[in-house]
Amino acid sequence: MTLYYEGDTWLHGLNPLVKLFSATAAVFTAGILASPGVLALHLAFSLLLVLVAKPRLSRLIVAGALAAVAGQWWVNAALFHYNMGLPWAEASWRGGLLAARVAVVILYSVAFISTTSPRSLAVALSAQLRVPYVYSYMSFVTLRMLPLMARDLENIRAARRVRGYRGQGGPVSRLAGLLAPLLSVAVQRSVEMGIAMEARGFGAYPDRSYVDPPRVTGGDMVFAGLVASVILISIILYFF
Amino acid sequence: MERPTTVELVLTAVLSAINGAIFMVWSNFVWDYLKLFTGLLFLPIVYGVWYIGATVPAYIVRKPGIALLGEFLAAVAELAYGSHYLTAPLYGFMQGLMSEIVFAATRYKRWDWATMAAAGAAPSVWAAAADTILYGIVEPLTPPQRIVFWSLYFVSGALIAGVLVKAVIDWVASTGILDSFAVGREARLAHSRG
Amino acid sequence: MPTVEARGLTAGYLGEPPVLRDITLELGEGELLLLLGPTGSGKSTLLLSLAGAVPRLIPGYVEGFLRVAGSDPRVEGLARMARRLGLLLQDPEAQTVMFKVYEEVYFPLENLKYPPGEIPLRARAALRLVGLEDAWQREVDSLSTGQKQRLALASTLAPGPGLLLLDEPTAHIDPASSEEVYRVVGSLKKSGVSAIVVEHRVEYVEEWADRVAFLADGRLEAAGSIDELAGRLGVGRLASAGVWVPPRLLKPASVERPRLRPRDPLVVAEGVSLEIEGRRILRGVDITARRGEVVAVIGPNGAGKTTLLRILAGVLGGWEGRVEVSGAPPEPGRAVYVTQVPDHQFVSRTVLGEVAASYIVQGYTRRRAEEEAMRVLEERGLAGLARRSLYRLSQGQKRLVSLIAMEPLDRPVYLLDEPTFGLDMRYSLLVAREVEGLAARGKAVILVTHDSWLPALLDCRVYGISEGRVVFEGGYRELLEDKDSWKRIGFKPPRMLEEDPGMLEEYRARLWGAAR
Repeated sequence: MTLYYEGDTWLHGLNPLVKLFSATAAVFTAGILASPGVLALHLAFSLLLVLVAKPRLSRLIVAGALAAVAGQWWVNAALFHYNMGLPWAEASWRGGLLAARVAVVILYSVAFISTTSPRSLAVALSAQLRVPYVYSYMSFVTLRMLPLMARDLENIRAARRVRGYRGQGGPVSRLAGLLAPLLSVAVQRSVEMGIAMEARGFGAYPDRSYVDPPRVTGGDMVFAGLVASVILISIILYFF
Repeated sequence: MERPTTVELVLTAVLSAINGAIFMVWSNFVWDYLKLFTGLLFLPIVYGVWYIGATVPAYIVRKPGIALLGEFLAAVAELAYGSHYLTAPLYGFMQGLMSEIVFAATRYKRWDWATMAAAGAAPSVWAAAADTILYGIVEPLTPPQRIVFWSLYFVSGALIAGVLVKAVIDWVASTGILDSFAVGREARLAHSRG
Repeated sequence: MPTVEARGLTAGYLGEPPVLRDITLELGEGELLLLLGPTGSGKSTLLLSLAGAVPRLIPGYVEGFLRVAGSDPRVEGLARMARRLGLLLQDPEAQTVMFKVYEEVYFPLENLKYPPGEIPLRARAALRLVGLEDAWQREVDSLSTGQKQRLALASTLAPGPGLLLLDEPTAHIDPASSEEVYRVVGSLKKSGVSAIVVEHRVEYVEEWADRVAFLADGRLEAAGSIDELAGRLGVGRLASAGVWVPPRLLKPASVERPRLRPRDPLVVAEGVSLEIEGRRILRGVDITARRGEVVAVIGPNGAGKTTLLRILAGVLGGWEGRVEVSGAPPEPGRAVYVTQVPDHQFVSRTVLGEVAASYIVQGYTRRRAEEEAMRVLEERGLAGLARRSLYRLSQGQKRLVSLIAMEPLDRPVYLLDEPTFGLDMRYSLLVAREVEGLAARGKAVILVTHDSWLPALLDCRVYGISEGRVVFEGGYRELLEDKDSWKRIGFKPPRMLEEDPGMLEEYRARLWGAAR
């Protein structure tokens, strides 16, 4: 389900914030400067990163990604042709360029997500960026709650199916009636967890100590430099 | 204006887990596949679903920072569920910020239909702009079509993330589930009066 | 100096009358106080007020003189009190925040800004205390519920608090882990650590308690032991307040119990196996339930009990084997399925609406459904609850409503998932009586339970499941004799029966007597 896996590729060892900012900068460069040359460069670079990341891809994820790219291509090509009257050749070309943008985002995403644990990102946000940890650590809560809420939802749906109840009233009542049990459990858990966290000093002080804080190493500098170069080349290509 | 308590922050995080799941289904299935069937022009009518990460917890807790945190965490949850859009957390942050600005403008005191509709529509300022610049989503559309397209972002946001969210949460609040939060207190007042 | 000092303590929640009235309490070093009382009586409120969670985290008011571990918790707030006190709650899932075991124990130490060099040592010491030292590197998800609760305890103990507040910590966990939790707490008393414990399962704590107190109507009545308390207040008063009075104090009563005559089998499962994502959940399970009988399914967490129920309910597919429910393959609509958490199955806003929904499902109009539902409630003497909001009911009321709301469906098979979960004695007995009533009316009831007293009370057939296999099948008396099976199915009978299995009839007589 989730792309992240514990591994020891070069990308795994890099600082999560460095990766995040670099990847985002690259994505924006590719999107804003979207000339064919720039896109080709980013497709190549992001593909290279994915190869280094060696992600474990399920069929579902690959299918989803391909569908997204193919969809972009097809829909836009059709629109260029039917909507704006462009000949098929040009419509396909321009549709392809738009699809390439999506492909670039997906490739950078896969390289980043598969090598960065959400937890290390949360810690980095507070330890390095000085985001108040009471906010960034909430991401731990969200991530821990995902499977629990999924289980609750399963129970709720099972109970309804057995009873044969399909809801009644207008759309708001139906939707709310479905959500009420889920929210009831969510509230109970939140109160308990909030108490349990504060009872262990959460929020006692504006900052906290870290046993194993994320560091910025030479490798990070190399990576950042690499990405910066790609961005620089993109700019040159665009204006060339 | 009070700061959110730990319980309120945790509630936001838990709601974001639920919202993130909804986003995941919406991104990876509805958005991508719907594109193949409906015309591109009317696609943004479903976009409002992506803003509920901000409006749902904010409407319940009614304190500063919740809209921003909620939308951001929901985007993080969406990523964790297996979405393939890295830009999600950035979108989450900026969209949450837009809603937050609307709520801040009312000093977190007004929670009527108008405010919710505005807060639901606000994230579109980012979303429409980013989708256009980053993904070039309006390139195959003529200028008049672009106007319609962009407007739909705002309409969808106002209706789904604003009006619908308020209606649903009001219903849930009437059951007493949300009694310990700001929206529950309002519900109890209305209950005892009526 | 006493660890806890409270005088004239009055507390309650926002906009509501006080839950605690003028309480006076003193607790010295190394003392353990057991707190008893009906659900909703304010036991949790007392703990939360002492901890400083009310009023700053949970909106409410706390008045009077309060000194806990040297400070006023209202001024300090819960987060700042964390160094000096530890709080252990019911649900281990809701208490663990991190993903690795060591991270969870680091958590409080990092929050409290301990020097990073010191933290790993303290963390190890805490894990050693609860016997989880070897689990250091493991993922929290891989632990059983009992282990998770011990982890939560370790995390709480890491900063070395002088006061422990425990709110029904054994509600969700197996007997072995429950004993372990109290053994640790008891052993800490020698080092001067005090504790206030709210616990239904009095058996586990009795030997460690220095004092016992009863909280009802906001007032506190204290004594040196539960026997003394029962002597002063009367067993009846305690029992009707829902306190799990040890059976030795209950008077046996000869109460007319319905005679159950099991007839033809309504549920037949043979060789049921299920594999999910490579894991074998069930391996060749055989189970039968007849018309007019109650069958209990017991076993440790993750043994596959709920999965089995889901298969019988017809909402889970992909299994192998043969299953017949009322003479046909299982599908939703054949049986009644009652979830472990009553909230999960609620579809309406009011009690009346919830019962009416079962009529609406059968095609009744809204108006007729509500009329019929009202009739059902009146028959049970619950007409007063009709307009109440479902989610504002007490846990026990929710559970009863969840059972009653299923009646109109008129289905012959009932599948109950932990029907007495989290209930006090009074409601537990009401539910037990309800279950017996179902069987008396000719239903086949299969229930999953953690509570070792429930099958004893119902004297029903028991299936013990361990790792997806049926490792025990027989009557409750046979189970009491088969000590070898106990460990495998995580079973521990009530103390009275463990000491002398022959006391089963006596035990039942005493408990049913309390049900009156």
